[in-house]
Amino acid sequence: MMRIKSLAKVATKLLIDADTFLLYCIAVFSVVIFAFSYSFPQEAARFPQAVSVFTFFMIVLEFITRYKKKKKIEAEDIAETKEGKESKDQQLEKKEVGINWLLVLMLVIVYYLLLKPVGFYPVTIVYLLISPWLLGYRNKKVIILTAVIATITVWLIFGRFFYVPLPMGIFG
Amino acid sequence: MLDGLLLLFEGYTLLYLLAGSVGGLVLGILPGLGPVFALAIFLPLTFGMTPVEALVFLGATYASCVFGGGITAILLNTPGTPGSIATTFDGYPMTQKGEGGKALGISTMSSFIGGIIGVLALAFLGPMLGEWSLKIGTAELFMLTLAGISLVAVTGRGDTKRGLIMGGLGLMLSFIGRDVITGTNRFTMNTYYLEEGIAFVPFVIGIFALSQALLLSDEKGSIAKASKVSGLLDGAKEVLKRPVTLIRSAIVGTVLGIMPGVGINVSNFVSYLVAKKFAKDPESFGKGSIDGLMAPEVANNATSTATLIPAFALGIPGGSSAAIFLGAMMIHGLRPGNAFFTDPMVPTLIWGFIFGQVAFLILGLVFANRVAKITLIPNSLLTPLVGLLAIIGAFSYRNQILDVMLMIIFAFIGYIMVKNKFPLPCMVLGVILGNMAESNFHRSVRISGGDLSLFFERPLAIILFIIVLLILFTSFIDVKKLISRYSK
Repeated sequence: MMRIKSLAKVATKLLIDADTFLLYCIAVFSVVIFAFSYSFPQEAARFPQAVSVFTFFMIVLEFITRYKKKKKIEAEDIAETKEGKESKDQQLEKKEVGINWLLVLMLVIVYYLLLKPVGFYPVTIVYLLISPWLLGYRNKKVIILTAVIATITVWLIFGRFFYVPLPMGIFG
Repeated sequence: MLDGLLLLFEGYTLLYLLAGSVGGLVLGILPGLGPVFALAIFLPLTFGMTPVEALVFLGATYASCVFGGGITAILLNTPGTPGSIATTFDGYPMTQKGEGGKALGISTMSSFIGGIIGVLALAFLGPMLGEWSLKIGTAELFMLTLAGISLVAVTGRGDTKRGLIMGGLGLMLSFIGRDVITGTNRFTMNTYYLEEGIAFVPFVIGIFALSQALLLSDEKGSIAKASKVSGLLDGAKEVLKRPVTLIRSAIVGTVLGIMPGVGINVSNFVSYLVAKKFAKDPESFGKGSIDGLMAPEVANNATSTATLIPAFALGIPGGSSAAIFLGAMMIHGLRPGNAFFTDPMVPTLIWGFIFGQVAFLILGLVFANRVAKITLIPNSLLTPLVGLLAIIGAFSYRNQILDVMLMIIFAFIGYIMVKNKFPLPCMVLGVILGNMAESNFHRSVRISGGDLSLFFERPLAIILFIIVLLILFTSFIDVKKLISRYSK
């Protein structure tokens, strides 16, 4: 369990400080859009090509600006460390990182995967019973009451009032 | 106009209006969620409604949510929405002095009057702008959408390059699906699901609602602690004694609302500063001044409705909330422009928006203190509920389970983007305006027989092009610095 937690913390840290990684991802996406649009008729390719080139150009500009900024910050950092202050990297390491978001995301994905095969009622009830508990809430009465009331309310509003065919799963 | 009022009492419109007001108030009070979250999470509920019911419901949600943000700003020094930050400056000092109830009364009445003035601006200026839109051709429409897209630079102000990158990303996402002109399937990876493009509703719910829940889950405990207050009616009366502050703040709020890309986040500050500049006792500002509290509250509700004017009249959303409204319009088969304002349902819609303001006035005066207690709900209980609403909301859009997956993917992207300070509204503007810009461009080129000079022959198109260049220029370059450098 401890190992999973520390792994999740590392993953969170990587994603929270993923500024450069995100820019790379958008750059790759621009290249993919540009390359794939060659197979389209000229009229359909013109806009995607123009936008992807523009976005790529802006990313390059952003990297140039950041490189200049980094040089400046590094110079300041060295001066501050000499004066006995913490470096920016050390400060970043000390920053507290929460992993609850990852837990919520996992729970939502599991809910999504089970929604169709198992059905709305059992999955919703179990999801609303387990999630608050895993997130640290311990009042059992409130959890049970919330799970029941929320499931009934969602069923009434979406299922009965707006005729949304909620997945029935094992009850279907 | 009176027929429109009578139509409001038909069907479920008033019931939806009340539901929107209550829901908006609750979500406005919860700090960190705000009007964009409220509109995104409530959008799927409108699928079963008629267009007028849907827009009245969303309008009531929006108005009530903007107002609700002020309640916690006053009682807890915690703005429920970024549009209520300036409310804390004088609202919270009043609570500290034991005048929390009076401050709530001032906030409620100010928001109500600001909202009513915003609706009147929508009723009178909207049709004028809509009629003007008839006189413009596809070349001007393209330039207009280009101006809308260039607003991402304004929306991402402070970090223009990132704003433009996110706008570009949004545009690229909008190209996924069948091309509107040639019918070519683009970037669909040979899947039927992507042929209709990125589904707007799951996209918005993921980006704004579930990602916000992920952010909230990282914060431990409940949002805040509530306290008891009284004397709301005295505060409401105080507002009516200050007509000059009322009118001035409403004008500031309305003008800033019409200007795309500004929104409530800016208008509450500007209105506060304007009120301080014209005040007889500016030194009392920040210490519990009534004018200081009124100014941002009047302005943010006036702005919230005024932002819908360019969206309804020209199809150019100035921000995320207006973009969701525009999305809702399109989902319900309504087209922006003159056609929208000549639709017989518009008077009913205007009355609905007015009643939306009345609803939060009553709710605010009667229940504000009680509703503020929802800030005590622990985040560990709140986030699973938001997750449930997001999933069912995304599913109910087209009853497609894949829409839920798309929503989760965008929630993850939204969370990471927010954590790394990428401006999400720019991406949404790109997604909304991408196809509009492209189709208008190609139609213009086809009409002119492939000649691009059409864009630079018509005076209005040239003016709009200059505006686009000016927006981009002023976003990249600090004009003040430039002027001071050359004046030296």
